[in-house]
Parts: sequence; C-alpha cells; structure tokens
Amino acid sequence: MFKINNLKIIKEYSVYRHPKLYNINSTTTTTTILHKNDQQQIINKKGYTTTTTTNKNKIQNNLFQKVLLTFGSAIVAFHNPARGDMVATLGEVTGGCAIKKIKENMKSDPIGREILLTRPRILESTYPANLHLLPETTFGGAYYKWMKGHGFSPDERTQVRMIEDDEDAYVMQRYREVHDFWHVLSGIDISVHGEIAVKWLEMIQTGLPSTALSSFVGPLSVSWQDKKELINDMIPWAIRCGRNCKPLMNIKYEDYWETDLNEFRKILNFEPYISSNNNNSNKNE
Amino acid sequence: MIPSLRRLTTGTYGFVSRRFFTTATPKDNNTTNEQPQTHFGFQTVNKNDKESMVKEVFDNVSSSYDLMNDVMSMGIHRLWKDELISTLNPTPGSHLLDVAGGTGDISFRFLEKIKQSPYYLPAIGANPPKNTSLPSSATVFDINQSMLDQGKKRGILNGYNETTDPSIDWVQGNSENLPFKDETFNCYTVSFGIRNCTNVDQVLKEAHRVLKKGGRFLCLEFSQIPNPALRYMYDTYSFNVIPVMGQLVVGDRDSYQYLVESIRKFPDQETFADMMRDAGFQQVTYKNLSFGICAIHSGWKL
Repeated sequence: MFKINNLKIIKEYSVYRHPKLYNINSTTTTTTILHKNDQQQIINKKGYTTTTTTNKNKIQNNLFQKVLLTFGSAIVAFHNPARGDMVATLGEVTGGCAIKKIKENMKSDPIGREILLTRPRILESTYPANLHLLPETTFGGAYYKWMKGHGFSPDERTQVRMIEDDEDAYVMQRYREVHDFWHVLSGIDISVHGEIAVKWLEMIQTGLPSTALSSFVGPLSVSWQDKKELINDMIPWAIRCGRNCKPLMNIKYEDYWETDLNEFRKILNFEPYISSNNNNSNKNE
Repeated sequence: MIPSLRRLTTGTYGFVSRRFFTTATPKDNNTTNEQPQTHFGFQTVNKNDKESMVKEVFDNVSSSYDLMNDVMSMGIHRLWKDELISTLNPTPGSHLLDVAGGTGDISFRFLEKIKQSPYYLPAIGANPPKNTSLPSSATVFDINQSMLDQGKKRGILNGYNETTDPSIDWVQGNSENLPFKDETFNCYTVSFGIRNCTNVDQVLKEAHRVLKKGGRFLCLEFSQIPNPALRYMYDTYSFNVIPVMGQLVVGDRDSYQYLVESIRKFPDQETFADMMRDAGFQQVTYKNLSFGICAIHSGWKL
C-alpha cells in the first residue's frame, strides 16, 4: 500500500464516492431516509439476490443471473443501441478478468498508481472552472465543444453497480468516463460506424470482452457504405493507433486540459483519424 | 457484516424475511431508532418514508407496467384478474371502488362483465325502454397520479371518456384516508396494491367504512405458497429472473427487486384473513390461485 504524505493531492480531486451518499469533508455518514441508493443487494445463503441496507450502491449477481444478463443485455443492446445502460451492463458482467489485467497495468505505471490512489472522477462538478473559456485548439476546449455540441453531460454515464470490488469498479468507471476523451483525441464524431471504430481502439487498449463483442457484431448492422469505410480505413487506423500510442488508461487527462490538442496527441503518440472524405474529423483547422 | 447476515439466513425461506426485518438495521445509524419502522422489501425504513418510496417505485414503472406484468407472469395475471371479477360476479347497478387500481385492469373487466349480463339494458337514445337496468360505475383510486394517467390513456382507447361512456372515475388519494362518504360503494376491490400500503389495518378499516351493508370486499394479492417444492421453484424464479427482466426490459432493477421482496413480507393467507375479521368483515374466506402464488380474500360487511 502506498501512503501519500502530501495530503494536498487528495483534496484537489474528487474522490470516487457516490455523489448522493458521502460528504467528502465529513467523516460521519448519517442517513435517516434510506433512499434506494443506500441499498446493497447481496447474495444470501440460498443464492438469491436480496436487498439489505448498507451505504453502498452495489448489486451482487449469482451465476445464473450473470448468464441471463450477458445474453439479455447483448440482445437488447443489439436491437436498441440507444439503451446505453444495456451496453454498460454487458461490460460490467463480462469484464471481470480484463479489468484485473488493466489494474495490473495501471499499478506498474507511476501515473496509473496515482490514479488508483486518488480515484479522480470526470463529472460536471470536477470540471475545471475555466473549461468553457479554453480555446478550441486545446484539449479541454475541444472536449467542451464536442460535449456541448452533442448535448452530452458526463453525469449521464451509468454508475458501475455490478462489480463487487471497489477498485475494480473504479477502473470500470474510469474506462467509461475517458471514452469521451478518446472520441475527442481521435476526431471521430458520433455515428454508428464511428462508435465501432472507437470500440476497436478500446478493444486493443483494454481487452474488455464487451468491446470485442461490439467490434465484431456491431458492423453487421451498418450500411454497406459504412462497412466499406470501416474495413478500409477505420479499423486499420484503430489497430495502428491502439498499438502505437501510450496506454491510455494510465493517462491523467485532468492534467492536460490546457494543452494544445495536437501537442497532446504527440505526447501520447496518438494518431487522429482522418477520413478520406473529411466528413468525420474535427481536427483543428 | 455480510457474514453475520449469512448466519441469520438459516431456516426455511419463510422465516428469512422476518429475520431480515428485525436485524438488518446498520449499526452506526442512531437516528432511526426513535421513529416507527416498517419494511420496504427487505430493507427497514421509517414508516413516514415508505409512502414516498413506494410512490417513486411506481412513478418509475408506470409507463411499462402492463408490459412488465405480462413479461413477469407470462400473461397469467390476466387470468387472475378475470377470476377476481367472476368471483365478484357483478350485476348492473353495482358501484365499484377499485383501490390501487392504477392502470384500471379491474375496472375495465368489471364494466365488461356488467355489459355481458343478461339484465344489462342501458338507457341510451331519446326514448329509452321502460325496463332499463340501473347505471353502474367504477371508481379507480390510486395514490400515484402517473399510474392513473396511464389508465386514462387506456380508457380513452377503449371508449371510456366523458362523452361516450363516463362510467369510470379516476381519483388520486391515499387509501388510508378515503375521500368518500360512509356507505357509498357496494364493491371494493384491491388488486396487487395492499402490500404496498404502510398501514394495512387502516386501509381495511376505511374499506369497511365506505362499503354499504351487504357490500363485498375483495382482495387479490400475492401470497405464500403452501407446497415447499413449488415455493422453492417460485422463489428461484422470482429472485433470479424477475429483477433481471426488469433491468433488461425497462432498465430498472431496483423496483422489481422491491416487488419480489415485498411479496415475501406480506402476511400469509390466514393472517390476512384474521386482519380482515379484526376490521369488521364477516364470512371471510380465501381461495388460492395458481397453487398459492395469489390469493383472493373475500369479506362481507353485514
């Protein structure tokens, strides 16, 4: 275990706790109203998941439920890609081993270790105060423009509930939250085949089975034009970029808000995607 | 804490729920000891908060309530509700108060049954015949406005609006304090709603108050299965499949986890019959449906 002697580091970042449950500045947690977010669903002696009242928001599933969730969420997500919570569920239920591997990679890197200790979250409340003022050539400005342009908010991300270990749950949550950063870095806009290209990148970087499933099954539902673009341009790009760039889970993106976007890409050795018909890139002019 | 809870879950499943109820409070929580506690699924909550928590559950499920009923019971809930209405066997001139009626399943069936009666002859047109039947009505009463709105939408689709057929009324309120005068209804049904009420005794007393003499109280509710093998299969299905189906179909696991747990916390058939007798109902009987998955309790105000 690592001890941090300089407590200032901890106070600068928001620690990973459920926003409604914990007051970071106080050490006691008093709850008189037991809201559903205060419950934990544990597997009782008979093997059924039942609810008790502890201050965690977690669900334990037994094997049957995990299998049912895997197949069910895959089918629902395939039929209705707008169900983001189904994609998230698939990732959580199938991601056990891959998350451990990512954690090992993070622990062997000094910045990864720092991320695991401080557990920074990417939420509206942890944005820097000047994010909206940053020029669009910077990483932070480009990110802000991209999020606002699409009307996204980082608070909309599904919380990780079905992974039992807290550290694993944090790694999964971090993976979800930096997904938007990877969109900005690669310059890929929101479209079905764009998401599939980013999923290929994620598969090479993280090795999560749900990304592999989306990468191989997702292209079945896109048009021939998009399939052509995927096979000829986007997937080779994703493989090149994923293999050449630095491990993206070990980067503390919060330190680079004000860095110029192309500079940041050079630091990471990240090759942005430039489509041949120039429809998909938001690189700066 | 989990090992200590595991020690408590010994014994047959019927006793597990009571142990969770008495000892599941967290140790560092001093402030809840002063207020009266009740169960919310397997959690223990303050009595004052249960109502708003139930309201939140039903706000979340209202838009897909009928779909999820079909998914969870594989369509059998329709047969249960048909059985309830044929037990009631209404005749034209009956006035129904359908408490926790939500989307109006029971009220629609009630009015359809009356229309199929051989004595039904509505007074419509300019010169109605002399032997028309008495008018009947159904009042759907629910604490949750979003469920009532869903029901109103269904009513309009089935032709129940102010101009064509005003026989259904949609009223919002708390069943522990009904806004009706004494002795106004001759049928009172509560279908899959009474286990969500905080004070079941109060609901039964109010039911006794608003019923006319000779009126009938019917309650269709999930109950305990007597046969242990079937109970095991039912528990396995309930706890393993239903919350996961809730998560897959509508994205809401917690509401369906509450649902299956609240079924276990409701008193069994005999206990509920005793509660009805305490409230003043007479000739209290019950019959099990689907081997005890549901039970219809019937009592008369005499």
